[in-house]
Amino acid sequence: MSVEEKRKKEFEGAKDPITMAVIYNRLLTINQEMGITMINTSISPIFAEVHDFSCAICDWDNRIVAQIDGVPSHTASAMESVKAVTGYFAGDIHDGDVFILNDPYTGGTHLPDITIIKPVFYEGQLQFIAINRAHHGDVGGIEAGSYSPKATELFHEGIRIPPVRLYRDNKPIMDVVDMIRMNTRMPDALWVDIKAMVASCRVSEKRIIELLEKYGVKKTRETIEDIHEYAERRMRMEIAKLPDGVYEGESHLDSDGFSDDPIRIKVKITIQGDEAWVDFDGSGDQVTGFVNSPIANTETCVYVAFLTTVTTPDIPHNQGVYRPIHITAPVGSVVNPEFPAPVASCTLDTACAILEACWIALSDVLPHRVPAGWNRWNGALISGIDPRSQEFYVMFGFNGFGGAGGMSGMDGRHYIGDGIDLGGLIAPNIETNETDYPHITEFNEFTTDSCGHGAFRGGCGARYRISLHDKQPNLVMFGDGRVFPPYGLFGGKPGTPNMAYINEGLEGERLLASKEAAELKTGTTFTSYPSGGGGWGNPLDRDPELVRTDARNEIISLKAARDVYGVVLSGDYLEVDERETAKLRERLKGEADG
Amino acid sequence: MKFRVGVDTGGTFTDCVVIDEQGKIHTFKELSTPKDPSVGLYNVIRKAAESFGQSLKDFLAEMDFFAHGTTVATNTLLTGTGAVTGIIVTEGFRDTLEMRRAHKENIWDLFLPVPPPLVPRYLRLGVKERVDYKGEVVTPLDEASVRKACEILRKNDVKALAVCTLFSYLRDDHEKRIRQILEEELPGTFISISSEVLPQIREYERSSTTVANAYVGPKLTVYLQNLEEKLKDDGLSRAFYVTASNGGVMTADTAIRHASATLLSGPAAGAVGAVFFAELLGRKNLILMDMGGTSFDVSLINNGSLTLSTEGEIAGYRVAKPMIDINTIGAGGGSIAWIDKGGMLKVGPASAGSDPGPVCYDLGGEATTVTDANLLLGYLNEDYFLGGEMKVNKAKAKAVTEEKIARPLGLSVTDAAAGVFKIINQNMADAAKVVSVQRGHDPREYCLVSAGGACSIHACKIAEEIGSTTVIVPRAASVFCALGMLESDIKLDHVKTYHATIPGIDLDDFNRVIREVEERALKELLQEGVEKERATLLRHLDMRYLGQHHEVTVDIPHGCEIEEKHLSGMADAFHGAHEKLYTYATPENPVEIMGLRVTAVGSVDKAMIEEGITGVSRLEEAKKGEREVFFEEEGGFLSVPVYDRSKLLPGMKTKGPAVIEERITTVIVHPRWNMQVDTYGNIIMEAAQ
Repeated sequence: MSVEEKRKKEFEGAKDPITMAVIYNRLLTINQEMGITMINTSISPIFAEVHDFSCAICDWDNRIVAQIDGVPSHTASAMESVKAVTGYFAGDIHDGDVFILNDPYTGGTHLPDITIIKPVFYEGQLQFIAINRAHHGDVGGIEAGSYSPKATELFHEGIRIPPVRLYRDNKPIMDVVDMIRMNTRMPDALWVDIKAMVASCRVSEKRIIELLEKYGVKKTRETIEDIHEYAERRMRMEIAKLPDGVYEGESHLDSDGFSDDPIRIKVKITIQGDEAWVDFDGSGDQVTGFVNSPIANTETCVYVAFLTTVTTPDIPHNQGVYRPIHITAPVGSVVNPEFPAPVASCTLDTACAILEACWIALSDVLPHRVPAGWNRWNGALISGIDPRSQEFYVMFGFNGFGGAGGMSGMDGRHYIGDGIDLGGLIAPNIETNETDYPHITEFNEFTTDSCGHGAFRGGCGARYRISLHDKQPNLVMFGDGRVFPPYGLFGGKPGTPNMAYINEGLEGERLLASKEAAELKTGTTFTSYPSGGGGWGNPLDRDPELVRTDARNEIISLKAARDVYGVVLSGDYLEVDERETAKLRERLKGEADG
Repeated sequence: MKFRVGVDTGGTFTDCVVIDEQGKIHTFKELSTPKDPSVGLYNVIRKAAESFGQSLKDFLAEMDFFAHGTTVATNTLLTGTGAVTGIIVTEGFRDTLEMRRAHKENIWDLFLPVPPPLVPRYLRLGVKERVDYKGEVVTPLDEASVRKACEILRKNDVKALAVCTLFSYLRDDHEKRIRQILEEELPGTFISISSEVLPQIREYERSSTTVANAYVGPKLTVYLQNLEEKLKDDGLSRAFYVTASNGGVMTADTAIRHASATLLSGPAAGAVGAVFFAELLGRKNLILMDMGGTSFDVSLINNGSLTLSTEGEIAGYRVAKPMIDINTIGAGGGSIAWIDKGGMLKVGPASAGSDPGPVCYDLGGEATTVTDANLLLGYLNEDYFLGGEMKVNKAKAKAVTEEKIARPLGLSVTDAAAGVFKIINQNMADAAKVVSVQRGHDPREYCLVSAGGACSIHACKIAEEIGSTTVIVPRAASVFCALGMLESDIKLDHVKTYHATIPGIDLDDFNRVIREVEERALKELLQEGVEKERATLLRHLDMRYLGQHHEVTVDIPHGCEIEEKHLSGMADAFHGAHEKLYTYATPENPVEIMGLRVTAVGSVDKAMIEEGITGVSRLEEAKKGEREVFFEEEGGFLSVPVYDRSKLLPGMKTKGPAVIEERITTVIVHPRWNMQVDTYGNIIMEAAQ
């Protein structure tokens, strides 16, 4: 038998753990390369600096097989977009095609998240599908930036793109491109960035074809099945470790921007054997404002909750891991709304609240894996005409991030952003941000005592103030977490609530609502105080030396060190007075018990 | 007798290479002395002097060129043992360093630890001042606020200071004035200011680099100053050079000021060694691989020059200094094979290191490593481990592999070991793809250079995986780094933010800025003792399409005024690089220039290496015997000839499969590969057509 024949034979065997490892790692490397291409070739800071996009590779059967690069809220939902495209174009998908979609009711999340889908052909057959989902600066709608607190239906939020063919024979179909561009406020940036998305999919196509040349179609497909089964097996094993039972969790959104009524998210997780049933019965009805979460977004949040706590980080993120999790949500509820309810803020506000409810439910069985609450979104979106270039701009508030929740054995990180993004968004530098947009930053630094105190405290949020330089800046708030700050766990304290002001300390000072649009004047200042993360465990159990370090670093105040942590510090270097501390702690514990 | 001497301090060994007047290479090795690395350095030089029958004093006096690769800066950063450091920043921005741009390397790992900031918050102090994006002063510097900060710094006994204010790359007078005040108030403190260390946009990257510089500076200063003084006292008459992360050398004085530029001193020297080989062998494109016990380093030589990146991460800290583009992964002889919860076989990144080490060392290792797998497959010789100095326990390696890997996977021990071999090869091949394919280089056009003890067992398979058809195992593979230093030019990098577009650039202004940077660069180079006729100033531009946020660095013409006629070539170089990297170019779009880089190079005389070595005349006489070695593509174990490398002569050749052994290195010529010894004694392996 020749070497070549032997080689072929080797590739015919299925269930091959070695080849599985090799091909899976290769797909992850390709996925990372897609992300690098997007960062380096896009022009909007939201991609190039902030990384608000996600790349993934699906197999021939619309199943995500590899995803490592990106933000969590895009995780599983991208698969629904692929299904929508391959369903709509069944029998009419060709080599050289590229498709586009953003409709939240056809597999999208919210309208700014545009998904680019490129089928990869080999030997005349569709083998894989490269996907890039990216949050664009503007897709039309009432407010620039496409977060519209006054929207009451999807049509107010921007252009709705169903599955559409964007490229044929590797060439853009310019009439379709223009139709989309002309419905947005930054048509040129949109088109350049879509080209960057297509480029990232092309890089993936090139590499996938190299993979297929090496392993052949049959072996590759068998291995992909192995990879899905492997991931499923691992998820089942982890779920099986949890005691059978029903675990409940609940969280609230402050409001939908129209009324002040809190909106309840209720979840019941039933563990039985190696499967989980996640049901949202009891959650609030769909609401007037833009916090309704389409089912694909809701499902993604559930997966994020499981992937961060039930499993360890090295589990593949593919369709296989989702198989043992069954999700139901009542039709017409805030977590499964009916068309045409507006949805723009669902990927931040509602997503955070859904994740929190799931985490709280799981904290009963996984106390040492589940974190205390993370910050919810508090950033503003500011748009206007840049007086330096006379060009229209949209600036997202990606500075002034909040903190992460404390965990068993570890403090939460400072300045990491909202829960659902899990640190996936990267803050731009002040220098690039001021070069890109007409404003000046007065401060961006940790807010003392913003962390939720605990044996393991939350991370701090960062106070952030800018003054605006264009003539008529328009400011949109689309956050949450003012009434319901990040929760504490097991005796830990909640983090501070999100706050934001116009002209704080100046004439015309006013507190901004967490969801509102405001027309401002030049020179106006915007100040935000994002929440720190919640604390984990009783602050009176925190290591006094850590309390001292925090006090020296002004992460906590001396008052908090004494009153909340029961630690007495003295002298220039704030040494721990052990005797006084022991006494104070005993007294404070007694007071708490009494 | 004149000598050229390179000494590289590594983690385990301090290597010394001496090239004598005849071009003959002599190598020496001593154990490293981590507490005071100069002890190991002296030990190895003394050993070298003895071998030439000279006193240390005479040997030092006759050194024509002396270069040193040091890990003092790197280890200081890795072990967190730098100076107590403070930083002065613009008021309102004291947390930039710790914020790390809110970036988390693995978002799915809630428990991922964050590297502690090199400066604690209570030593990060704001002062009143502000410059805007145009470089105009919005708030003048309040000197009283600086003096107030000094009180806190003094009270906390700060030994090193960084200064990084907003937009200081556009206007440096505030930083310079702050430095003056610090020098008055805190004399003797090591001070780095960001407008000198890295005058470019992005305050996080700039302050992180400046802080790294300050943090490692005092230790490096003490080490290099003491060493230089001692070497001079002991007779060294010529300058003493230190290798830098950019693959060049600099005098000890310059290295002290640019401490953060020595963080990749060792690997950079190795890559220069590879460039040297590239020239010697007439091969312009190389991928250099170095596999040790715990890590695998890979870098790329394109058209005879090192590839540099403008920034990178060292020990979790961002350092934006030109450094060799090196990719390191946790893959080495000690990498542990394990089965994850879902039944997937994995290798590394955890390593058994040298303690307890692989199972076969019999020092308590209980997990199968790559070395164990290589032993079970016959790639390593149980009777000639470290030249026979070390006894290994193959039976134990087999038993552990059976129990922990083979049985759970339902495989035979051999198939399990072969799986470990295959996976580690693929991990290393993927690492090689990062520096080649991902940077737009086609690995099929590159030869692999295999360095490090274990690498040449795997090299042919890595080559197959990435499509390369030639593997070179250099004669002095284990002292590659030290040899590289002897070939390093003096190289100093300068960077200047410069903004313009093509078309539309004001050439008069551009040439004025080039002149200004080049004057500064040349002045610094001449201070290094370089003669003017040996100085070259190379120019590079950071370019991007208008609106993009990340640049591609492109070489532009040097040694002349830039004229209209050069512009289209400059733009084309960018379009070409963009297409290569990202699959497309849009020549119809304007190109934006973001920065000018000037590298001042002072060329150093290159050593001549003698050709030919002595040995036996027939290949048969170099044969030590035969042994059973596993080759998957051949369906199992084959009996293959084993040759003694020290007896191989230029011109000798054989077909794979074959094994070539020397004390530390084993070379496996895999089936479908041919091997030949070149005139310098290097082993060249080529894939059979």
